[in-house]
Amino acid sequence: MAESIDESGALVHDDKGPKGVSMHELSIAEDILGLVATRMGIGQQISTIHLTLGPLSGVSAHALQFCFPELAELQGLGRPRLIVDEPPAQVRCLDCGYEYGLRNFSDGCPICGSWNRDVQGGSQFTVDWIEVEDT
Amino acid sequence: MGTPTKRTIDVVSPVMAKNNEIAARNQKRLAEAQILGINLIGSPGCGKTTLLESMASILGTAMFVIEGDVQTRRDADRIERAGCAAYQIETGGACHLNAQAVSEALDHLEPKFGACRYMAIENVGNLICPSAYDLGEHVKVGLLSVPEGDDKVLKYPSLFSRIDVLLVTKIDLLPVMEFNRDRVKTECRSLQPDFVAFELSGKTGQGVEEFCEFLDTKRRALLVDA
Repeated sequence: MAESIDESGALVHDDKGPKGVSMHELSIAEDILGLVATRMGIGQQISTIHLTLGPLSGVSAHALQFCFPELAELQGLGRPRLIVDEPPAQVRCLDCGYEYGLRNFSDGCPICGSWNRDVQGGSQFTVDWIEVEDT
Repeated sequence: MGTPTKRTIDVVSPVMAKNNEIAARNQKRLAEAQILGINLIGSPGCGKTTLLESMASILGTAMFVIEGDVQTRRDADRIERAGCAAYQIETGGACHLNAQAVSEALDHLEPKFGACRYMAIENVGNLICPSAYDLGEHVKVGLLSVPEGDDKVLKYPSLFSRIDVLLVTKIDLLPVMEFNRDRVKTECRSLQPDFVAFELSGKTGQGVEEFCEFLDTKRRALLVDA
């Protein structure tokens, strides 16, 4: 949220809704809830949302977990649990041929230490399944 | 009321689908107007606006600029003084541009599209958040300035794994800074092989013409594809 100091010296939060957020995970949480609402309709009691988040998606699972429940509640979707699966990217070492999963890109090949590699995937970001409660 | 029963519903939907749909429309709209879209992503102060000013002296009125900043229209004013049409998006706090904001900027600029050949979009200064949002560009450019240091590529892999062009900027400072240009390119190659690298200085103009020639080639390819 944008902040400024008003004439009295007090800190003012400038809440402009979707445009007034200061980390993109909040915009992304809104996108997820929008997607869920489109799919499920409003007023459903959603207990769990399952996501897959690749290490090259540019999204922090931690930041998403932080803002998600409050936002969901504000939108009348309860306080769903967010399960985030963070699979590694698949990598083939171009020097020794070893194939491995990689999450931290400053790590070299676990066998030969090389950074000369072919990276497959890693940028996936999907909602996989939702669990709803019927009462 | 009975015991609540739970049921699971398969969705399997990309979270960014809505943004990407609008981005695809932006990209098509620009291509149909024979305009190359360029998304410039880099830290605050890495030299994005200075580069655009330098490009303006070469491309003149053929370049339009969409400026993304949290606040102020200072950058749009700078671009207009350099002789190009500019439209300022003030995000009011958001750390990135999205495809919808760019679509609205294109609505404003479209009546003046006549001479436009290049639509440069200067994203909000940030190496993380803008990487998640396609805007409808044809060329995604990642800028890294010499003073930021040569160790940044693997710290921000989501950006550098997606770029078409790596620009090392402020090379006029190389004599006074320790900066290994090969390291930057090697680390970028460890994320993906499909990028082109240029080294330039918006301040002195060194290397800017080569970058503009590359954009011209890209634009011509766009016409062939269309």
